[in-house]
Amino acid sequence: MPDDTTPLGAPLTTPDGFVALYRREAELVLRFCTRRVLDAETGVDLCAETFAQAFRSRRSFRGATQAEARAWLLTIARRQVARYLKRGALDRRAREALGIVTPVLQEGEAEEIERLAGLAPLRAALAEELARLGGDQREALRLRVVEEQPYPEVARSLGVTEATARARVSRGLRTLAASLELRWEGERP
Amino acid sequence: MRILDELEREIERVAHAAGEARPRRRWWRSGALLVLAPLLAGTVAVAATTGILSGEPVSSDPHAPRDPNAGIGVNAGPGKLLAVRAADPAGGPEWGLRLVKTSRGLGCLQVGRVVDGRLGRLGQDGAFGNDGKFHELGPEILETSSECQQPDGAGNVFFAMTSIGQPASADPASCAVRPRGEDKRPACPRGSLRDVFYGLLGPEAAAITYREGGKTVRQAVERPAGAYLVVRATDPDRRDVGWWSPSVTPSWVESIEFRDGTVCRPDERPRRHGRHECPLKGYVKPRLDIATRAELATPITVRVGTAREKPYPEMDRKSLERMEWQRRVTISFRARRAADARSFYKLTAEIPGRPPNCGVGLGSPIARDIAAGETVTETLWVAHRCSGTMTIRIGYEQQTAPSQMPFHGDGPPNAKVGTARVRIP
Repeated sequence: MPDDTTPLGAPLTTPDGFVALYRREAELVLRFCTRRVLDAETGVDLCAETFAQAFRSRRSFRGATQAEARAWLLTIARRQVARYLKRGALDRRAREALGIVTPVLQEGEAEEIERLAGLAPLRAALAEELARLGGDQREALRLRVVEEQPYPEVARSLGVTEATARARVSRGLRTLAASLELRWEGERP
Repeated sequence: MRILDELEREIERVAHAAGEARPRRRWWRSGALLVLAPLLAGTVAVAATTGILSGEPVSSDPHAPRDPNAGIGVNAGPGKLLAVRAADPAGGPEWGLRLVKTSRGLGCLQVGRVVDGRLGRLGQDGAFGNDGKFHELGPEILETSSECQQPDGAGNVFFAMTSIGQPASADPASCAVRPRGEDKRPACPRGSLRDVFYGLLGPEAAAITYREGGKTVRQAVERPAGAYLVVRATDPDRRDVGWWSPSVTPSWVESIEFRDGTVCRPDERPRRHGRHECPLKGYVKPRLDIATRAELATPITVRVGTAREKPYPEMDRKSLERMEWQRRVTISFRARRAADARSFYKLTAEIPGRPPNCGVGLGSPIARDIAAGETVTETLWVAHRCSGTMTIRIGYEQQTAPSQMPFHGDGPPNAKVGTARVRIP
């Protein structure tokens, strides 16, 4: 891992500089994304889109060290994950614009990525934290996140207004995120 | 890990095909300036009130002519120099804004220094050979689409730009903000960099407040466009300089005050597409006759080429040599609805798969005026070695709310025109 001052070497605007960034950080980004969506295949998609977006905006990167490049990349990855979690759909625009093909997982690779990302303990932690949530929030999360129902459907199932359904999901996610933040401390990203 | 290795090959391919990304070059920075300089020497004049000499006006790049019916179009008229001004921290001519409407109906904001009621750039920080003169910026100099936005239904433009580390000359390409080995431009003196915040908040905005020097500053916006402009010296220790970001809400402000007495604090607003956005008060949703699939559906014709070609002659030789042989795929369809800057066709093409058959994912708006009944023809290039079934989708997007930049929709098109599948051998 680079310290705060390890220089970048070739700038990201050069092919060699950008490929070197990928080689240094790809595994980290894959782990970062996978841990946040709890799914290896989605993690690969988000990782690929993160690098595609980073490539498209490489001219805007103004840092000079490996640590800055990593922070910049993780910011892009974080946005990708947030967008995915909000919309429930993967963004492919940068890959489409560049013509980047996302590799497909072969047998056993999902498990390998899940091991890399430490998903098993994370899932256990999630289940535990989910159990601690109030029944209303848990059910709202189950309908919205697990069953991927649109908010009007969630509201109908819960017998509440759409605004209330949104609030329950939002509060539930915030509570979960806060609990998991505490558990992840020291083992991020 | 195999999957990361495969993705690495894709990244390598794309990176090498793109070659080295260089800062924008201006034709007048090259030998052309030397040829034109003696001819233009006689045009120097002295501004009436400031005493600052005027040099030749800023010229547009003749190698990149704009199409009035495509992209953002060209300026339609002289535009309007807005009354809003901001002092430069080092003194000299104030900063100002001009709103220019384009032939495709977009509103674009030009920012620069104002001398005798004219907007322009200063010959300093490497610009115009540091001649110390004022160079007028014409309304036709629209350099990037990121300065433009779709107007609302009442013709108001909502726009917010943050530009960090811009040369005080107001010429963004005059010097290297972060000098690098390959950049031949002079380095911008750190003391002459500016953070420039400007935009249009619409007819309902009254003021913005922001922090400066430990105090809250309130700036009344210029009505009716809701224009604001703030210029500060860039923090000399700031490292992430030389970037700009268009939006519709100035997320850096403390608050936006509206005429109805309400206040929006961007920091307290939920993020939308990664940004804190305030409601666009006064935004009039454009009236669009939303197209249905039945109105648009039409057959798509696809012709798959067999020749091996290299289609980008403007690429440098090294990158061209590295580039794989490409295959031409020509797509055409009859546009049943007309297209303009607000309602436009969008094309995506995809070959699923992975090496050695290599998948392809392409997508872009067809950002040009199209008449109803016109046959639209687009060309795609795919690596010649790629094979598989290509799926081409044509959609029709109608924007009723501004996206971050023109033609950058946040989701899929609202209606489908058609889908075609062809076999790439």
